Amino acid sequence: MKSYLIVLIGIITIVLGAMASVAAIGIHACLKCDVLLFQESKIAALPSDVETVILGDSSIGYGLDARVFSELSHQKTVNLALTGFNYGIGGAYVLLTEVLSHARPRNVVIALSAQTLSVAMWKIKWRPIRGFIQAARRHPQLLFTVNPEVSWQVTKELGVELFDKQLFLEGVEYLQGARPTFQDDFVRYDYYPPGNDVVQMPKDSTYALEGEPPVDYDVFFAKIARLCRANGMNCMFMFGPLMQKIVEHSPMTFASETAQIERAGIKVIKQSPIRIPEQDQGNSINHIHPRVRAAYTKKAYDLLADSLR
Amino acid sequence: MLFNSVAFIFVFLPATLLIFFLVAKTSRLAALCCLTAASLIFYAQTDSRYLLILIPSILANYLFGTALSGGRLGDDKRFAVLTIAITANLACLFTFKYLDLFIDTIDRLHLADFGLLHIELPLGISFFTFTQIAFLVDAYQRKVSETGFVNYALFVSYFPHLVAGPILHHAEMMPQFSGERTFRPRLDNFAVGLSVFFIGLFKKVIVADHLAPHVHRIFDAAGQGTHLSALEGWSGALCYALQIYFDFSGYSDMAIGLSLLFGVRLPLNFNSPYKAVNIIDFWRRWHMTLSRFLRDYLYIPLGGNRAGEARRLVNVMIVMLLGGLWHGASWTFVVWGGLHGIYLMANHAWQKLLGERRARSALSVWAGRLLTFLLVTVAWVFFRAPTLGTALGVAKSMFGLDALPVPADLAGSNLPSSDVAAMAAAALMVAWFMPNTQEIMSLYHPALSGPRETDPNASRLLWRPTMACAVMVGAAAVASLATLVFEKRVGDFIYFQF
Repeated sequence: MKSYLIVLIGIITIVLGAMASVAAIGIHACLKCDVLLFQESKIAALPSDVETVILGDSSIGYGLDARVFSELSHQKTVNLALTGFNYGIGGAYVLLTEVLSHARPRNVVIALSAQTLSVAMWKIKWRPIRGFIQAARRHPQLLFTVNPEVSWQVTKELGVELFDKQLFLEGVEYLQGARPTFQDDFVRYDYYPPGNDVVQMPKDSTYALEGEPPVDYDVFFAKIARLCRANGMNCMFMFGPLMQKIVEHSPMTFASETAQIERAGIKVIKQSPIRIPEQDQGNSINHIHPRVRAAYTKKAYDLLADSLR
Repeated sequence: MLFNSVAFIFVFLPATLLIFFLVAKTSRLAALCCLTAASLIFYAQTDSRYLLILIPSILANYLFGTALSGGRLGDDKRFAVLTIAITANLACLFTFKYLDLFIDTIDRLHLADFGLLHIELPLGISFFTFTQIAFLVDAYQRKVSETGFVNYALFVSYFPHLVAGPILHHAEMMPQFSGERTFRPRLDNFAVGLSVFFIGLFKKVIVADHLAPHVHRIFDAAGQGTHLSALEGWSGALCYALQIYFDFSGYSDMAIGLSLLFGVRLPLNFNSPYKAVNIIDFWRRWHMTLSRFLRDYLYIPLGGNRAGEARRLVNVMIVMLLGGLWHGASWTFVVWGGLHGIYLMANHAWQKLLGERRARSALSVWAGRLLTFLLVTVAWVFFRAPTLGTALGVAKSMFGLDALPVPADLAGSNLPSSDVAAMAAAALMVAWFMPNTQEIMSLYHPALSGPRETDPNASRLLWRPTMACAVMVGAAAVASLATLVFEKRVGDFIYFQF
């Protein structure tokens, strides 16, 4: 009976363990992480004399053209924006760590939408934690050195992802020779290819970011602040562009978020986002229309100019 | 919490086993208390409010039972106590399970206009009510010897059976809770128990859950007024016949296996019902603990077969109608019970006419088996359908009264996909030709009573603690667990709704 039980439990453990290992390969391969892969490829090719690095979410991914910014600032600038809810500040923290293994920029601009920072992680099903795991898959030590709360959530998410069918299948694909890639369009636009749609707000919208911002993201800001101090970088935060009506209705949210970020040790350039009037609106409340990208790069530069070293 | 959930398999079960056997080293009573507490936690996982029904029910019935089995009350008072106790149990069951049906029926007949109360059905209420009524009746008849409260509370709430049976009898369970062997972890119990559990899990996750979407599609289409072809109707009914068998017998296997891990044997609940050669035989093989309860506590008190043939047939019909209603608060269950009542009456009449004799030739055995299976399958349509209208829609299509025998447009039809059809064919072959779990495990008696007749094929497929068996059971376990864990596909057990 003993050997029977050993074989039975052994088979179950070995096979499920092997499947979890394949899923782990799927996590590591990250075949569907197009924007992350694109930004990682830029970091891999980063010139050692890069001067300004911009990290953030889609509000700045769409809203800031690194080439135009470089011309305006006369500084080699790279825009490494990911997305808000999927990566957010956790993704920015990992990318900055990765940047530091290639170069030491003078300026680091963190630019996130106020909307990204206004929603607690649990409300978006811990997507930022999943993004953090994706981004840190090549630096697993980062996953467990933020704080105990994040470590716990990472452990739980890993527990789910190691037994996820999709990631298992991606692991199988990887073992069969598939390799992660991103579309050529990323190179052309230096980010996701933009859409020309315009966001339609619901009729009953209050045009306000609601509630007190959560503290979930503070620890990542603190981590970034520590990296900046340790490496002598000039780090600053600016809010990504946001629909004008929402900017007008949410001053308290911006004030709270500003206070939290500054408490974490990062200077906030302006306590209010760049406003997107109706005619410039893109396909979400914090996306500009693609035709005004250069103009909004100029607006961002004007805001940051005095603070850049 | 479901037996086929990750939380149950990987957290609740190992933790409960560990605590039970660790505590049992120091105190048996404490171990039983732990197992009772774990059972209540298990029950509360679905909705903790249900404890407000289960715990008072256990307490009240224990007090009633103690009063009935004690020597202090006179016969008249004991009868009064029994009447009050059974009435209270049935009133509780009626309130939570049947009151809305009652109100709905009155409203539909325009006798009054009450409006539905939308009372939520507490999980397993039918099972723990019947279990306790049997205890009360036996206490009244002074057949109860074990009267310890913890044993009683565990007997009612014991998590392997609590939500979907088998319906336990105190006389076969409570002595086991006092048995010394129960409290020692035994390798053979773990090996056999885990094997039976994984076989049940495979039946549920791989077979029953694979057939469920097609069944849903057919009954959903019928409910929306789609005219199904005969082939589509039969595909839905046949798949449901197989789904419910593999679902419920899978659940029963899992319950028997789980219980054996704790050293407690549960009664057998299934014995290859689709191998039955007639309807009487079917009811000796299907949900055997319910049949036993209905026989002992309804059919026999009604007079059984002691008051002549006509009265016997009436009793059979009453038992089947109430047995149908026991399954759920819907007239579809009454029709299902009624159909089985008619089948049984016809079967009894046929046997009376020709004399009860065992079918001998293979042809007559298979003719009986096939006819029984088809009759049972037709009745399942009423059991599965949410409304009588839907049931009639499917039944009409099966008999070609609603549309063509085959769909005009095969591509756009509701016929099963090739993998569902293959799974159904394989499941039917297993149900007809393969020995059942208890027969396969018969060398180690995982259940309280083994099957009366064993499949001749069983001797070739007997489970033994060998490498080959470990690999086969391991493969079944891996297939089921991988589906649960990686696909996150956890289907409810059909009998949870009862």
